[in-house]
Formats: sequence, C-alpha cells, structure tokens
Amino acid sequence: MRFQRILCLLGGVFALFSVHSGNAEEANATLYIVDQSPEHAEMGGACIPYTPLEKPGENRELLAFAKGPAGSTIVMLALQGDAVYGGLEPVITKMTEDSKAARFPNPESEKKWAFTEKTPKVDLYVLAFTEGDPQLEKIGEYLEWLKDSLKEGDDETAMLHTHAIKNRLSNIMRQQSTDSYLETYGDSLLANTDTIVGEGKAAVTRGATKNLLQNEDTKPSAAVAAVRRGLKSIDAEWKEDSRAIKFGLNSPGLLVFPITTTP
Amino acid sequence: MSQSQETAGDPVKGGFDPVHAAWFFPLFVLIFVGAFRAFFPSLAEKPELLWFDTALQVRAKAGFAEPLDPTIRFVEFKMNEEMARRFATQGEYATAAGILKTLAELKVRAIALDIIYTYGLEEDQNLLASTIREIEASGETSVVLPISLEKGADPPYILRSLPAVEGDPFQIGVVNAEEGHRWRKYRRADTFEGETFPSLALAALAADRPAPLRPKATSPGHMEWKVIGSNGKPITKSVDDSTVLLNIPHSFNDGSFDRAAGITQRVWSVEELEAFAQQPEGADALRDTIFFVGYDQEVDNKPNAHGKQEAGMFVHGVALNDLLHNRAVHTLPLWQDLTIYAIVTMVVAILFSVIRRKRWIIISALGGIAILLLFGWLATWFVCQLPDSILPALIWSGAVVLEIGRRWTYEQRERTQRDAMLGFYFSPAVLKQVTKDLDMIRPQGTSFAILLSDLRGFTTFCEAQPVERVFELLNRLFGVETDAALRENGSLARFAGDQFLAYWGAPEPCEDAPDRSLRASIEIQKILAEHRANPKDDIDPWLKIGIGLHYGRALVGHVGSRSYRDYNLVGDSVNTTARVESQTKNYGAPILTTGEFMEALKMPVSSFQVDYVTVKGKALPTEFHAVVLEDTPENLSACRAYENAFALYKEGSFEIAAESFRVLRDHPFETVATSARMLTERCDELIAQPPEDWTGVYTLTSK
Repeated sequence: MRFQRILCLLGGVFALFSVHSGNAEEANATLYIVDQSPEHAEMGGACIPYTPLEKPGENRELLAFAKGPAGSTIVMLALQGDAVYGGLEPVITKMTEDSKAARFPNPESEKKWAFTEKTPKVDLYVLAFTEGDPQLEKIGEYLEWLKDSLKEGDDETAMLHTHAIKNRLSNIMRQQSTDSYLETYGDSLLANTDTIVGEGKAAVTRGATKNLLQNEDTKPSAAVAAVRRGLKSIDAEWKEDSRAIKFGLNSPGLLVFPITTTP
Repeated sequence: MSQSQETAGDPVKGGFDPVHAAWFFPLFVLIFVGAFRAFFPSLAEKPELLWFDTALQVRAKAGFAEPLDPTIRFVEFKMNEEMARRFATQGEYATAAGILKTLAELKVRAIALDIIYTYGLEEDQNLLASTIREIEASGETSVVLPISLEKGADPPYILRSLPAVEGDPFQIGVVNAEEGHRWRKYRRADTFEGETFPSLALAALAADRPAPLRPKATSPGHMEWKVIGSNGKPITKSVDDSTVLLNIPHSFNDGSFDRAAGITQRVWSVEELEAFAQQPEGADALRDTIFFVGYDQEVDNKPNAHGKQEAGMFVHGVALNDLLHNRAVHTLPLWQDLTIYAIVTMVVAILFSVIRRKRWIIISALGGIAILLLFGWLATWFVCQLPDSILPALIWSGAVVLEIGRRWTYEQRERTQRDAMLGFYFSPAVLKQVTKDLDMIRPQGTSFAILLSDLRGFTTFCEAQPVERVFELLNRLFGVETDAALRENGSLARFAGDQFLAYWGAPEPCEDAPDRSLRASIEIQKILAEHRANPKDDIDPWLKIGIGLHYGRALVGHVGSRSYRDYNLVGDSVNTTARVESQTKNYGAPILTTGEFMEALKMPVSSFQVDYVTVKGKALPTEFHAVVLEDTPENLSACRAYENAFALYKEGSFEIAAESFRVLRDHPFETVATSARMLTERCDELIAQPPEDWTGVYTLTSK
C-alpha cells in the first residue's frame, strides 16, 4: 500500500514536470495572398506566401491557416491598432484528430480580407493554447464577448474588448523572455526579410520590422518569386509554407504577421 | 465597586456626578475627538496618515508589497557627466527628443513626461514638438506632456509644456501633487478656471487607450471612461477632483524590488535604455508599456511614504497603477468615521459598566485598541479603505485614562467615607491595620473581651432634665469611655441609649484582650470618679456607671441593610456581658466580671468573687467577680472576709455565712457592704426555705 502511494506520488511529480516542462507542443501557421485573377481560375486562385514585398491588387485577398495538435486551441485575430480590422470576427478553433486547419477569415463568414493598396497596416495574431491553459480561458472569454459585440454592431464595446485582448496579447509577448522567444520562432525571424522570402518563409514578427522613424519604404518587387499553390489543393500543401509555433501550459504560442502594403 | 456607583445622580444632592456614571467619560472623549475630527480635519488626518504609512511599510517589509503593473516603467534622467555632455552638445530638448525616439523604437505604448519643457528656445521647442508628432503619427506610441496648475500664483496661471509650439494641442496631464504629505495624496483630476484636466497618471492611462475610449470630462472636476466589467458588459469608471491616498507598494530606491529584475527592470537610466534598444531582444520586452520620464531623485527628490527621497514621476506611476487596478486608498466620509467613533464609544461604555477590575479595563483596552489599529491596516491592505483607527483608539485610551481616574476618585471617596466610619469603630492603630487589609473586617467569629457599661440613674435624670442636658451627659460619658477604649486599641460596637459597648480581639487579634478591657474599665471608672468628686457642673455627679466585663466567643461583622450598615458584635457573650453589667448595682460593684474573664486575665488585679449564679435566660452558672479599684488594706481585708463568708455560703452553711455577711453589711467598702447585704438576705431566705440540692449556685430571677 505504501509502495503504491510512493508510485502515485512519483507519478504525480512526473506528470507535473511533464506539464511544466516548457513548450512541449507545436502548431503551424501560415499566411497566403490568394490571387483570384482569371489566369488562376483553374487552381481556384493562386496562393502566394505573404511577404511585405508582395504587391497588393484588386483581385488579391489574405487567407491564414493554422493548425495545432488535438486538444489545442488556435486563435486568430486581425487588429488595426486597437480595433478589429474590417469587422473580421476572431477565429477560435478547438483542434481534434480530424480537424482541418483553421482558416482566417472564417470561411463560413462572407467577409473577405482584401489585399489592396488601400489595405491599412494590420497585425494578424495567431495564438496556440494547450488544453487547460488558464490564459485561454481569459482571452477566450473576451473573444466571445468581442464576437457578440461585433454581431451587435456595438463598435465602442467591441473596441473595449479589443483593447483588453490586446493588453493580454502584449502581456504574453512581454512575459516570454528573449531566449524562449527566439526558440519559439527561430533565428530566421530576426534575420533579413529578403532572406526569409528567399527561403520561402512567409511569416515575420515585430522583431523584424524596420525602424518606423527611419521611414524607409520597401519597394515591391515582382521579381521576388514565391511558391504558388492552388487554393483547391492548399489544404494538403499549406503546411510546407508554414512556421512552427511552440507552446505549452502557461506559455501560449504567439505569432504576429504585420501586414503592410507597399503600393 | 458597589452598585451605587452606577447611579449618576447623587441621591442626596440631586445633581449629576460624573464619578457615578460609567458612560460619561467615553461620551465626553467621543464629543471631544469628534469635534476635533470635524473642525480640524487636516490636523486630525495626520496621525491616520502616519498609521497608513506604517501599514504600507509593514506590508513592504513583510514582502507582500504589490508589484506595480508590469506595463508601468520609468526612465530617469540622471545628471551625470554623460547627460551633462549631451545637454552641452545637443541641448536639453534634443536630448529629450532622442529618448522619446528610443522609447518609440521599443514600441512603448505611452510616454508621460514629468519634465515641463517650457522655457526653451522656440526652435528647441519645435524640435521636441515635431519629434512627438512624428512618434504619434506612427499610431503605436502616444506622448503626454505635463502641465502645472499654479493656483497659488498671483495671478494664477497654467505652466504649460512647449508653449511656443503652434498646431494641434498635445495630450496633457497635471503634475501637481500635494506637498507636505509625503506624496500620499493625489488628485486624479483637477480643475482650473472651470476647465477639467486629467492628472499625469490619468493622462497616461488615456494615452494607453484608443482615442474613443479615453477619459472625458463630463462635468467640472469629473472625468469618466468605460472599461469591461466582469460580465463582459461595459461599465463606467470615473474620477473626480477629490484626493485619494496612493497605495505606494514600496520604495523604488529599494533595489530588492524592481531594479534587479533584469531586462524587465522597472527603472531605466537613459544609457541602459539606449543600449537595450540596440539589442535584438529589446524588440518586445518593453512593447505596449507605459513609460514615465523624469529626472532622478537627486534632481526631483520628493519624499515618499516610505521616508525616501525619490523622483516625483514614481508618484504618478503609482497613481496610474492604482487607477488600473482600483488600488487607490480612499478615506471614509466624515459620517462613517463618526459612526465608528460612536460604536467604539458604545463598546467602551458597556465594557466600563460590565468590568469591575481596573486591570481588566486596561487589558480589554489594550486588546480593543490593537484590534482597531489592526482593523485600519487590514482595511488598507485588502479593501483599499482608510478608516480612522488612531482617533478611535485615542477615544478608547482617553476614556480608559479618565475611567481609571474616575474609579480612583470613587474609591478615594469610598475610602474616605469608610475610614471615617471605621475610625468611629476602631482605634487609630487598628484602623491603620484595617485600611491596609480590608479582609480584617470580614465577618469572623473569635474570642472577645467585651466591655458593656450602663449609666446609673439615667431614667431619673431624663425625667428631670431637659433634652440638651441629657445629651450633654451622654456625650460627656461616651467621650470618656470612647477615649479610654481606643487608648487600649479597643473597638467600639455601639452606643445604645446610655449603654456603651466595646470589645477587644477583632478585627486585629489581641492576646491581652481581657487586660486591655480591664485597664480601660478602670480608667473610665477613675475618670468618672474624679468628675463626681470634683464636679464642674451639676452633670458631673451623674456620671456614675456600672461596667460588666466578659470574655467569650462572639461574632463580629457588618450588619444592616444597603442603606445603613454597622460593624457590630453579636452573640451570646454580648448577652452575658449585659447580664453581668445589669448586676453591678446589685453588688455595688463599679466593675463586675465573669469567671471566664478572670481566667483569661493575665494582669494582676485586686478582685474578689461576689457571687455564683445562674442569670436569667442562661443555663450555665456564672461567677461574678468584683474589681477592687481602691485596694487599701481595709478594703482587701474586707474582701477576704467576704470570700470566707461566701465559701461558707457555697458549702450550704447558710446560718454561719449569714452571720459572717451580716458583719460586713456596714463596711465602708461599698461593694463588700452591698454584696454582703444581698447575700445576708439570701442566706436568711435559704435558711427559711432550705434548697433540696444545693450546689452553691443561686438562680437569679431578674435580669
């Protein structure tokens, strides 16, 4: 009986260590520019991994994919400053064994995320929470309230919720030490954007953005060729262009896509 | 304390006497302290603020100081060589602009300047202004400039930052904070000439929010904004121009808190911040934080609640933290504090009424005051309210001091009354012992020597003389008797009519009680004899008494009712003494004692047994002994002759005894002569009717 108790205790300690042993899980996310030009009609639209250098256009829209292991929860949210961009509802998807990648904007919604010259600076936040993460409960509550406010068209309340959510997102980013931040997103995030594009990596983070006060416009370059995939087959291929997001209990994964358009 | 202490009015005088009212002094202190609190609020708040300080320091020292919100950070302009060089080469305004740029690069959400840039050159002001506008244009960082409301100036004016700059107004916040309160007091909104301004802390909070969500003035001195409530619905928060107390968590000079916290450190120097901004890991560690920028404590030293000198910007940072987390400490409105005072007063008055011992009054006060003071701390720590706790504690302690005084006065009065009363009963020596140990006068039963005297011919005197002369006679007699008894440390039991009763043996034990009583008796008789021999008036001849002495067990203690009490002697021995005294005139004896008395007597005295009788109402026989006051040879010879005759009488030889007594009937010694006359008659009576079983004891049929 005593031996069993000791085993149970050891098991409990082991389980505790397992849970708190850092970012044990991994999700993936990517962001595409979907070109709906007639020449890509066969493919259902061409999916070009997003880079800040990609040229906006009338036929272009943005589409994000993210998927985590079963039990995890993926949250995607686009913010323009302190407001939800374009009325795009946040996406909260609990992953199961059979789940497809979560899409943003929500495919069930009629709202699209146009990538035109008029598109303002927007940040796309992709978060991955492990099951039972207390931070998910808090953020999830605010996200649900935010969705309700958006449905009701209550802009002021929606902004209040967005502000609260953004504060929590900032907290998450600040709480992660620099080391774990690099570990999560990889050294390449801090490298030159051109290099990232050249290697086919799509996401960047705030850590790689230019000094805003230097105001150096980055010229779009059609010569920067990206991998092009068809929208019809993207479900099977998106992961090849994706970036890993490591996360664990009390350490949610966060990836930020800062969207800028360069005319 | 007797029950009568609770009666406030003096039943005799009919007026109010606070010494008899347990509730009076708590009420008195309440009125005093309440008036002090109401009419001198700034003075009254000082001890409360000191107690508040102590609460903050204790919390910090115990390691429970709340850390500031992680979004709140500080940049100190240290006036070191590097800063002096920059000021010399770039100028103060350009240096400030550089710091703002660095903070903007770090994606800081809001920057609140605690330095009023107002006297610089126009071009310097424009340089700084253009930097601020450039930063704000990015949409990621907002800047708040300070203003100072110079209300005390003549005329009052607003000291503004960058006054020479034209164009859109900047976000501003008031940096005034009340001096002289160690930076505890803070006004979160302020008014000047009808216009409402946010404090620097509130302005920083506004800068952290999107424009539509920023606090707005809704009425003079009142600002409102919305936040999300716990149910997800918007709720309105507001501040006004009243003052709150800052919940300063700790001293920012204390390195054990934030300064040693690595890259997430709370307080940055300019050089540290610039170096950090150059590192790639600086990208997100400070993003969306709120920075207060000001001079360091050496330049902008302000006293904080922890007794340290620190930069004034910390005050605004703490105020912002309190705004974000509802941690500002509020004082209670006057009526609530007065209610606390009243409750404390009521509790104190009840305790004073219930508790009898002064020791428990003090112990309960110490406990109550500790609870009050702890209550102040707990309310501060956990519900951010500062109830008055020092002043209620003052009410309690003041009431206790007055209550102790009241009880002391009461006891003094009682003691005086008691001493006056006991002084009547006891000699000064006994009284001294009794007042030292009041247990001495508890009821007790022991052996006493009892003296009882009675005035001869008092009834006749009363019938013939006016009342004044009757009392003159009595007082003269009792004066002599009292003095004599007290001189022998006797205790006085009572004056009843012309009777005087004194005793020895209690309250102080007395081994030679019979000796003392006899000495007192002899002295009384001698003094009275002197009075009779040399009368000063026609009262002195009446000073003739008989004294009965007995030694036996009796009870002594307080008897009577609540309204009247007497410390008195009761018991069969008192009755026996009365019987003995009543026989003194029958035997012509000035002092007649019992056999028990003579057995207990240690001092030598001339006496002789005059009779052996069973007095009325008693079962056992008693020997009567007469004390010979003038022991002349003739008297002593007569006494021996009487004793011989009495021995024959006891044997039953009544005829011979009668003859012997008959010889003594006309002896000059009155006691012998009177006794012999009575015994002669008794012998004749016994000869005429011889008793069947003669034991030598004759039964008296009258008292």
